[in-house]
Amino acid sequence: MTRSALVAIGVATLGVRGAPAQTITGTVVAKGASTPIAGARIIATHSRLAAFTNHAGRFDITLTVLPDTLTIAAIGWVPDTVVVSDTTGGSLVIALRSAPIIISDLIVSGARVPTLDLTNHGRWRMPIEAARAVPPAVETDVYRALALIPAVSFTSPLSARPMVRGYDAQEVTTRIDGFEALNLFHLGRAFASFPADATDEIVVSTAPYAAAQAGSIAGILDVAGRTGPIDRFQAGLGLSFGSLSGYAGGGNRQARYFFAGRFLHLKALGLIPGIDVPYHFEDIYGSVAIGPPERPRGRITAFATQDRAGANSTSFLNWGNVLLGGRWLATKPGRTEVELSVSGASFREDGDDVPSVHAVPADLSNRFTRVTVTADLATAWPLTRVDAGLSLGWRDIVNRIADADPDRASVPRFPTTSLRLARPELGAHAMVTRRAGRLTLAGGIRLDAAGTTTSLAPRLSGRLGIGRDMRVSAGLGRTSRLYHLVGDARSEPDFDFLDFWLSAGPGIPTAVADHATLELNLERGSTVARLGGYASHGSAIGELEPEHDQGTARFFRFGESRTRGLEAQLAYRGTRQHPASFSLTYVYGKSERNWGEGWVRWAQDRRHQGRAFGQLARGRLTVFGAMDAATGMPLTPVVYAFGRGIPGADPRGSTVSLADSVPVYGPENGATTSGTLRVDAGATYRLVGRPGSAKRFHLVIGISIINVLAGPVAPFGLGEGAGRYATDRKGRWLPYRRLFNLPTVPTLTLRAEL
Amino acid sequence: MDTRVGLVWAAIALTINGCGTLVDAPSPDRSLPVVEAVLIARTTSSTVHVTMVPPLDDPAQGPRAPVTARLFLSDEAGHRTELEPVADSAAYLRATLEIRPGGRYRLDGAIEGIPISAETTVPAGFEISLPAGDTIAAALRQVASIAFRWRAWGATAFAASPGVVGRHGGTHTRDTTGAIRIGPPEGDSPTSAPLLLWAMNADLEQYLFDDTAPTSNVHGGFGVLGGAIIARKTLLWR
Repeated sequence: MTRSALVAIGVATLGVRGAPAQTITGTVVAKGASTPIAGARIIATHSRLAAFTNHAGRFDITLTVLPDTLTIAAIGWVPDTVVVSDTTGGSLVIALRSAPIIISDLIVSGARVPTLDLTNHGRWRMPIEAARAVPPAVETDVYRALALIPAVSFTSPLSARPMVRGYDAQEVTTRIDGFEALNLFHLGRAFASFPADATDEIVVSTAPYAAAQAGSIAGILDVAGRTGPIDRFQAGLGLSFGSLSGYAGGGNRQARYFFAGRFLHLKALGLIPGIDVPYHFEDIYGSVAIGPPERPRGRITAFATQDRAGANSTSFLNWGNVLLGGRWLATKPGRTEVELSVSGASFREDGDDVPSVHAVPADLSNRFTRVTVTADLATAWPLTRVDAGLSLGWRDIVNRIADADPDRASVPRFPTTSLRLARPELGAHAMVTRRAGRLTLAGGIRLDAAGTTTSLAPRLSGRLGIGRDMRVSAGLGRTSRLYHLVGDARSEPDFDFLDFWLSAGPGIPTAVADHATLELNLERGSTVARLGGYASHGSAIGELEPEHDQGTARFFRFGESRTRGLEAQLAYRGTRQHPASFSLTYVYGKSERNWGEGWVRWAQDRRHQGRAFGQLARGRLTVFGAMDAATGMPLTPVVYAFGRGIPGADPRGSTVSLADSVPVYGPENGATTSGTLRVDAGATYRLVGRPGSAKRFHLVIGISIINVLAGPVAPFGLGEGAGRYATDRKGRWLPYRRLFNLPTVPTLTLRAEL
Repeated sequence: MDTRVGLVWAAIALTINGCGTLVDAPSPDRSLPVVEAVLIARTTSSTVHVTMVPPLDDPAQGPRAPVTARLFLSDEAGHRTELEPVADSAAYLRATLEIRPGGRYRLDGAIEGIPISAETTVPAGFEISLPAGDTIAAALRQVASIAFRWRAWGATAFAASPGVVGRHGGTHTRDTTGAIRIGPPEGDSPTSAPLLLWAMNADLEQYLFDDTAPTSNVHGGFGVLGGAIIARKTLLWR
């Protein structure tokens, strides 16, 4: 930890304990770039108070003792200390230097001292530097790097669909700079469509999140974009097997801009098993921060992405996102802040003859548009904080999906979907936080309404400091979603591009889940530990009927969910002299569904998962590695097999195969596949420049290898399982197949920064 | 630090890698009664295929005829008939009951003491505009392409035997217009052959034409009690 000199403020020194409380405001930014650092902790040592910076890097903290010492810490940044003598000199600007070793910091979730901000309960912040410490497949991906976070899991090593605590990725809402965006995926949902070069950090907030947030059953992923540096120009280029990316930013005290773009080049296609189609994508992101860095007044965000896949006009899939949003701080510095925001986001998807579930190709035309205006108010006293907000929105959904060729399919369960929904939405929330000694409690309520459907969701949370090193926090609350986004949780690693959007209302219930969470944080010296437990019960959780269903003609189903689990993280962080970090994570999770016939394991339920991440820096060289081990996934077993024999004439005529075999499935998800183990490794070498050096030009080469052991990641099913399908001991065909054989995937990246 | 980290990694990797490839697949403890039957409209005799299928991991070689099977077929009018064994065919039973177009039928009873039941509704009104007439001419040594236009109440799929009717060579179609393609017979001599046109209900379609997960409508066991209506034509190759 560095100790800086007094940065501010004025000349008068109070130096009196028990003096009237003084509120100090400030901004935490990245050194040399002025990018606001959100979520930084500001701890007042003598006043024994703490605060966190908001998304614009701003904070205010009320000091009861002067002079006081502020310790400013943020994940991915070298902590700093500032002595404050008085509060008459204006705002503080604290510039933090980037920290090269940050994996272990990810698990720190609470302040050592009581704070009026409880939003860090059940939340992980991951700066992009941490994401780059995960050995990348093809290139650093902001979603796949979430493997660092124990609450997040994936169906496969190449999946970018983050599932949160036993709920599918469809139940997770994604936001860019706080603005909701849909389906931020590239081909096969193997990559996020938000480029890493444009990312400042990714925040995962698990349910029950703060009352100010809504729209998700399981959690919210916030992707925060970068901001341009002050009084200089900064640019960079990145090259990988997957894409060419670049960024540029700059500005002054009045405004700072940042732009980034990414483009696929075709070399990537050979690395994705089974893909041989013309395909390209483009992503662009831009932001403008307005106002001085110590107190930005506003921010404008623009993001657009498009994917074009397909060889011709009869078989293609095109999709894309456009988002434009702006925020404005409507109040002057003081106890109360009001922020206004407006945003519009649109997802568009068109396709013909698109591969989909149940081997049925589909024609589709989907639109998902949302326009929202919000006003958020926050006012804080030394022991009490009040947050309230109101949002008005308009959601317009067009969801048309039909069999591309009805007669080709044999299963008549694929419904022609034609939904057109346009309705206003209202959201309102209020939350009061109160601190009493070591205990901080928050209670709030959220109302969401759309059309004739309403949902009321109470939220409670609390934190208790125990001793100097330990904090216990708990959360209790309800989350809901007024429309269903239903996909196939079992599809991966096969590609499935269909999203069915169903609005809650008459005939379709509103998805609701009640959550309870408990966390214990321990921080002692170089060791950091976090232990968390969670449980939830949901209703009206939607899913596609599984392909192995043999008794109903339903396509969608709605039922109850039940999850519970334990997450344990232990991390060691090195020193500046010996920069290294190591993190061990164990997750026990249980996720079940009840579709009306009793509880069964959820399709992606994995009971035990262990992950390890390590990072070691020596001069210009940084090596890193990861290991992921997990017990198997549920599998609906085939318990009988026989050949069909219709007596008399058979409408299949002479085409009936002698190898005809009917599988009869046992209890849903009544069996388990084998466990998986994967080890990845990588290294970066700075050809030009050193970490934290004053050099303007940096050139970094990186190499990584996914699945170093080169073994099958998911040996699967009965029989040999070597081919696409398996046979039983009598040689009969069974619809088991190996999910995938992941080869050893090498990745080479080159990054240049100016 | 680096040495310790390496050792921990190695230990964990070796330990967990040994977990292997176990698949926990529970096995049922009894054979499964399978019943397969199609009720053809305007017939009075229906044959039912009844077998007992052992679990996959049972060392038994395959399906066998049931030791006991007592089944009944009944219609909405209250007619109920017990199925009789077919001589010299242990796995087949026969019901003598008029199958009316549009009628709903129920099969129930017990197989080796296991109660089973199934219901189905037979399609009706199979109207065939094309091919017209009872006899269809086709050229020898060529694949015949015969246009069809048909419809039937209660039918979800159609088929031709022999022949393919799907746009992509499928054995069935949901289309009401299209073409039947039939390969020519061997040889150069004019000949005739029967052509059966099927209109089948959803129960039969979902059982016969889904290879991944055929749908059963037999409660207590597995299989199908389907319904169909058949039109018979003659294909004249010349």
